[in-house]
Amino acid sequence: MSQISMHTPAAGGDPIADLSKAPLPTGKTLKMRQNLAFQFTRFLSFNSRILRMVIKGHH
Amino acid sequence: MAEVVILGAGVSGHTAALHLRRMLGREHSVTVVTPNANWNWIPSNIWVGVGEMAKKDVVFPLAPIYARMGIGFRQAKATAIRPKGDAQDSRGAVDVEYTAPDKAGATDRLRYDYLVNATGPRLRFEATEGMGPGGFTESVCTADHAVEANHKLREVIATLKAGTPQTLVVGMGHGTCTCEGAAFEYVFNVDHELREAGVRDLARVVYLTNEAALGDFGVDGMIFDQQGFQTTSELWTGSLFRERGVDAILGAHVSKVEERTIHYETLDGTTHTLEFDFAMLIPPFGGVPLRAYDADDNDITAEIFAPSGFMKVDADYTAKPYEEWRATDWPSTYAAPGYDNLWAVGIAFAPPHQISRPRKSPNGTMIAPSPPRTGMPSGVMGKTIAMTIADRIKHGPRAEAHTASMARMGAACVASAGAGLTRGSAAAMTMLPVVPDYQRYPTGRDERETRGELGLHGHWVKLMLHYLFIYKAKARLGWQLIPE
Repeated sequence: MSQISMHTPAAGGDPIADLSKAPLPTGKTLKMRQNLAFQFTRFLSFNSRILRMVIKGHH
Repeated sequence: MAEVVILGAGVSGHTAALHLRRMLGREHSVTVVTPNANWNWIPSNIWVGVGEMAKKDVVFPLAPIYARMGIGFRQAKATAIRPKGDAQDSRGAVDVEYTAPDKAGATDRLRYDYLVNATGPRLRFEATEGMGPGGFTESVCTADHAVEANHKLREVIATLKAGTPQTLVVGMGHGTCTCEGAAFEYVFNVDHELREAGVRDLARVVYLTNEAALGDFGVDGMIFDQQGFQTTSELWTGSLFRERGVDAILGAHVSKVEERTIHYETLDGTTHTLEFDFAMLIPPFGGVPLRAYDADDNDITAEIFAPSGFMKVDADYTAKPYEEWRATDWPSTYAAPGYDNLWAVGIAFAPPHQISRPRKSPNGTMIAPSPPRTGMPSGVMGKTIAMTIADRIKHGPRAEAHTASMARMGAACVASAGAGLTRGSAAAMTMLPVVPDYQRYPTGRDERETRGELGLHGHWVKLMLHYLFIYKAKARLGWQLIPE
């Protein structure tokens, strides 16, 4: 079931998806997404996940 | 001595060629047939399309690599396959037409003992009137297209700087397109460039997609475990659209493009028009135009290929409703039925059905993303086929086939949302398996391995993959240690 509905278009308008229910990131989240030290740990975590997948799921 | 012929030098074909050359002794030949002189790391075309990379950063010539590796190289396009040979020779054969400038138009018939079809997609711009570089929209499907897209984008940015509002549309140019991830990446890179240029407030950015829901990506969406709660890729993706102020139009089939106007139909059957100043629309893919003939020259194309032009392999092609789709429908050996020396990998194989739930508008228009089979899965398929062929050459034709089903393998999808070593961003996703298996996992996928994260680290991962895979494709020292 889709959580993001489309607006009923006004005459001649575009049926733009209603994103008002999509959560906005907080200021802290936005900061952490650009924080070099934190992002470095996420970089390592993501790479370890790819490697695990290569080992587990490829063949 | 065995002769292996590989059609196509994209991710799957090139990977198969390199591994075969590594696995086989020099008494066996490996020949690649591709109409292109260059290899292209297509995921980075996105950055060429916004001017963050030049064409030379994403392509390199194949001939020197193949010469160094001892791989035969024919710059030609395959026109027909003859899996049972012809009147002169019962060995399989491929008809090719050369595209290299010095032999352009010349034809040849190459014999093979083993054939891999890794021809990739035909970009079907003609499916939608007015779409594509010959029409009114841009593309990032090739490096040259991306260069042109950036050129047009710079013109729009200059117009914005002069104070004139502009509408930029990025998305899918037909209801049955695949590669939604590429359009997703491009729309956020465009948004990022507009912000960097200080003109975002004057621009309307629209994502026009055939996905019924945001975050579908042609893989039926994903469910992530985020801090102990299940989150859908729809909500997660919607958050990014809302944060960046990008309008999304969902479940859309583009029927026609005119100068500055896109005509489209949505899943509810209504039709609309969208005015634009810049548009990048991905075309639907089809198989390359290859015919097939038996030894008596009878046309057996319909036996070997699906109507879409993709090659039939060991998938279950029985037509059945979405609710009855199973992971076992998906191929695992990629062998053409009835042949033990013919395979199709990457985009070239015919999928059994979509991954996302197929939908039709009340007018009967199919609006359903086609299944993606690029990137990581393509590379894995290429290596798997190479292992099967090498085993059969070394141990005889009864050697068991290696397997790599998309319903068992995982994939990483790193969708750039803006370039820059300290200001960049990407949506970094992993999923295991690519094709959801609802019999095995309640959410269709392994929750531990299916994740999505946004942040600067995603940009670093995408950049790392760019350099790693180009290094690997150039077959430099230790290339085989880099996983597919």
